Amino acid sequence: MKKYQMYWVLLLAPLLLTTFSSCKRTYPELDTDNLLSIKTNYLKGNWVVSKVVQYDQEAIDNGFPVDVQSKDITTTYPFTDYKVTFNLDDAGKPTNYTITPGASPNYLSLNSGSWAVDNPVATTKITFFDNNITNNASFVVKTIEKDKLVLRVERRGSTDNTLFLFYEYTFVRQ
Amino acid sequence: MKKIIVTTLLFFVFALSAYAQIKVVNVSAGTGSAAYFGNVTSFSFSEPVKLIVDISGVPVLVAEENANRKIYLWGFIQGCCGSGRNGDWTNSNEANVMTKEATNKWSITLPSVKEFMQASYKQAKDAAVSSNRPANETRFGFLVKGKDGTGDIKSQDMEIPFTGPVFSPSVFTAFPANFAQGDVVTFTFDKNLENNAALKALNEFYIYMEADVKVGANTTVRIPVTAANVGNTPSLKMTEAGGTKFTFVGIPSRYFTLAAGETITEIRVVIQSRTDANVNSGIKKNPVFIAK
Repeated sequence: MKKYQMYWVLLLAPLLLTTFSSCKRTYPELDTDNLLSIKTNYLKGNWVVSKVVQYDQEAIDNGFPVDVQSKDITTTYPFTDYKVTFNLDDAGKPTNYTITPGASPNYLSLNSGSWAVDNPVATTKITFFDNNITNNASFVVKTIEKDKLVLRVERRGSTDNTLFLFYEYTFVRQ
Repeated sequence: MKKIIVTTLLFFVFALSAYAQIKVVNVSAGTGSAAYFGNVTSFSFSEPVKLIVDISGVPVLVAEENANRKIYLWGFIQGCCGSGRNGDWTNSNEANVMTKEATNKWSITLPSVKEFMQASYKQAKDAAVSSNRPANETRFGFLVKGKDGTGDIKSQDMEIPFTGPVFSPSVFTAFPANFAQGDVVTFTFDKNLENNAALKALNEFYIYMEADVKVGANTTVRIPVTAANVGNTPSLKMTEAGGTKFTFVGIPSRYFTLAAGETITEIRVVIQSRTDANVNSGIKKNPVFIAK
């Protein structure tokens, strides 16, 4: 019985190999413009904060236990008041924004103006400019999903630009 | 401009207990090229260490000693920075004066490399990498010198290794360790670790704060309320955080009256009773927050 099974394997193997090797796979051309609009279109619309976690960079650098590296501070101040609206033009390019902090701390210190991303395909930073384009502030991108954003506000020293803490904001679509 | 506030937790009682178990590092100074002493007693970035330096191999320093002049420590981390406590080369800071232990033997106790250098562990790791060593091979550098180092009244450069900081529970902690006056900060008090029995016996605690505020070129002290009125100010009450811990969450700039351009450079905090301001964690146990 085993002998017959082996014959079948020997008989079918070349046929299968021929079939798979002749199966030509084709991939569509990468449409970067299309990818660009998909990514920025994820940002389009109104977002509200659902969670804020504060991270201590020194504790991270020191290798301290994970439970002393961060704190969920969502309820310590009215962080869930914080809202951002990203607007885009018909071509899917960033245009203007509004930040409505409510009673929440506003570490970006900006409320309206224009915005931009550093790289539309692999976005790592979203930068906001005020209406006079004299001041700017940025979110560092951790996650951009259709209905969820995780963005960081980094706090750096004024003298040496050293990162000393950051806030991680989770936004949900309104 | 955002100012960083760096926490340096100075707990007097804890410092005393730490000094009781202090690590001792012995080295023999010489002249000429730099020396690395890799086999000294192991100590961490964040713990006190006593350095004992034998200067018998440095004739100019022996001459200083014989002339009844003192020897001083000059600290640095190669590839990073010098200690802000060093003073001038021609006029060393008295904070770095060493103690004569015996003939040709001088000592000094550092609260920690972290505090002495006012540097972060990341800076020390970056300095190791910039000196072509693995990041965890961090070193403290120093030499010993006369008050006035003019004319090379000094030893060679010396380096000793230290390990990373060790996390240990504390009676008072500030989270995060570094923050600006507009940041959210959480103070945590663990009464189980408190040494003041009268304070430890209580079940509610209040925060007394005072801040050094930079006003132009000057610094002035401001307080939200006096110690006597802290217990009448609900916003200064700590919240039970489970077990024996109590927390206070705040944004420093919201507790002090600050005009435009004024910045907080230092905050001192005392944990105290609601009813009796004299029952407190003690002025010597204040955490000190220093602007960078």
